[in-house]
Amino acid sequence: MASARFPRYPRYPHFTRLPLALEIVLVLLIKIVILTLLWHAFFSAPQTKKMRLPTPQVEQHLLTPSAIAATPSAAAPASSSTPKAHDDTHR
Amino acid sequence: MIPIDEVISLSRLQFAATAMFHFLFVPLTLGLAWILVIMESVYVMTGREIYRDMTQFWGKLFGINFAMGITTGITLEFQFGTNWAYYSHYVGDIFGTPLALEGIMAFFLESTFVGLFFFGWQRLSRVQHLAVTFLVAFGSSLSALWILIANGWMNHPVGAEFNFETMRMELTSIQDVIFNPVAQVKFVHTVAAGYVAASMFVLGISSYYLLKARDTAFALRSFAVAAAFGLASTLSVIVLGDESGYTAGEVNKVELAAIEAEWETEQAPAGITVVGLPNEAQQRTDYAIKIPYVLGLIGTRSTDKEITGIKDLKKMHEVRIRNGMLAYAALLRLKSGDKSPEARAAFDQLKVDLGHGLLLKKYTPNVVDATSEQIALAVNDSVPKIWPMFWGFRVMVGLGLLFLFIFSAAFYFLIRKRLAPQRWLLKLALFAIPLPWVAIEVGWVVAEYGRQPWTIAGVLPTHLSASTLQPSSLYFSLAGFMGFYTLLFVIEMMLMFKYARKGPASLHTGKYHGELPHSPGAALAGAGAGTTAPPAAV
Repeated sequence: MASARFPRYPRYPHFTRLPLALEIVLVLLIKIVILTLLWHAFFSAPQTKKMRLPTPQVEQHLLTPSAIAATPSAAAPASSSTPKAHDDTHR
Repeated sequence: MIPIDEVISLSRLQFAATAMFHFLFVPLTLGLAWILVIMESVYVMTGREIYRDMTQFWGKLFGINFAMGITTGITLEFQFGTNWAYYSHYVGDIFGTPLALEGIMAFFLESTFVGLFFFGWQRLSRVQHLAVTFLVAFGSSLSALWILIANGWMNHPVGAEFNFETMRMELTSIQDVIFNPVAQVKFVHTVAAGYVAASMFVLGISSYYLLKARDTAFALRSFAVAAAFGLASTLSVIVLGDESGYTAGEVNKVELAAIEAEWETEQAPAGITVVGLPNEAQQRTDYAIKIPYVLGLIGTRSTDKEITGIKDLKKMHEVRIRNGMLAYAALLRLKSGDKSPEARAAFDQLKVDLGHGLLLKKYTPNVVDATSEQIALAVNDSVPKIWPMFWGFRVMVGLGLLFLFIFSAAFYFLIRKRLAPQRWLLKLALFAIPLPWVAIEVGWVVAEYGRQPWTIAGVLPTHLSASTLQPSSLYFSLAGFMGFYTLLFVIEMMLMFKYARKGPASLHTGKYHGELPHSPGAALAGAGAGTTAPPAAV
């Protein structure tokens, strides 16, 4: 009689009545299904192929104005003053 | 125009949330595997069945955690190519090797031997099975090593150089990447923290059995293993945390200064701020209580070297940003087709500061013409917010000291055979079970947030690392991940509670609490064949 063997447990509901090994197999199957669905829905078309982008795309992102963040200060006009490197570099 | 800031914030939130959920499972796998090795070694050496039962019972809880945790990290790799395309491109040449090795370790070594651990009890000899358990533990720690090598490289990108032709970092020395001092310190500190978490898990559940006076012999032996391993691991975490502070002082001065809210460069040796109220607006720490010399000793291992304060670090960053503007101009020259030796030499001389120049891209499309105001904004961005660093670190250290107290007290009362009257300690150990996870997660936040504004320190700013995506896509995928991980976490908790409460009776050996004819007197006396010592003796 299960309740006599473990009289204190009923407050904690069982996940299932299956043996642990079957419960784990069930969870693993559910995981595979959910991960596959998430991958298909959101991640199946990564922008990189083998962790690599076309170099022109990276150049455009890093070096040209079109990919700049739309932060309020980004709209501020840039000065035409040319920067000067300090000689007293502390590196 | 796409609201880039929202996309970046959502991508960061998604990565942080999935990494933190994933890391709920990892520490227990890392630590419990070695605790199983200890228990099974005693079984092999003594031949006493109770140690086999201990290995099998704690192995069952290890198995539940392993099954719930496996593949939870794969979602992070999903995000690399989709949410963090530019970051992915930048690190692809360096991360390929460690991530591939991690995959091999996790899926082949670790999973194969976990299978043998559970199904090999009747098929392998004692020594062969112990070897399998050892390989499970070794494989778990080794797979963590490769991930932390990759993470360490993000904080201290050595063994690689920027190639202007491919616009990415390219590997120059795999040895430098593997033996990166930041990665090594991170690895030992992180796995030792996992050992502490697993020790507290075993100590707390064993305390529960002792408080209930059930399965006493089994619980006492488990408690002893956890107390000894936990004490050694906590001391390791503290020593390695100190080493981590020294490494930060060497290579990541911003993180150290932010953790300590060290606004000014103090005369050496600097004192450590135990507690205070960092005031970011006024750039000072109110009501600071300091211990003289300690920060200087931790951060420089000397009494005559300074710890650079945040204000001076910002001045240095301004210099680097201005140099970065020149590096950016030199890169534009190369990209415009002038690949003369002079143009290459000019870029090579300045490229170390290119990343700092890229900080300006948040404020102006024309980096080379940035105004003083834009430079000032980029300089302010170059240091993370202080309060999460300051308080996060103190929560982690405070909890670490609490663990040291718990494990020391547990070990002391155990060897003095005075554990049973210390019900306060048993209750404290039980309720402290979740705390190592709190310390680990907070520590992870300090480490990762402390790298901001960079994904690769000094090389690639976070705001240039993310892909151009629609926020709606990120909201939905974030919700999907949160649902997925919450489901796993709930199932893990239900299974853990169920089997922890059942105790060694879940092995169905017929010797433990709940398997014998029900008798309140037997339970109070700690009845069960595993019981060899009554509670009064401990």
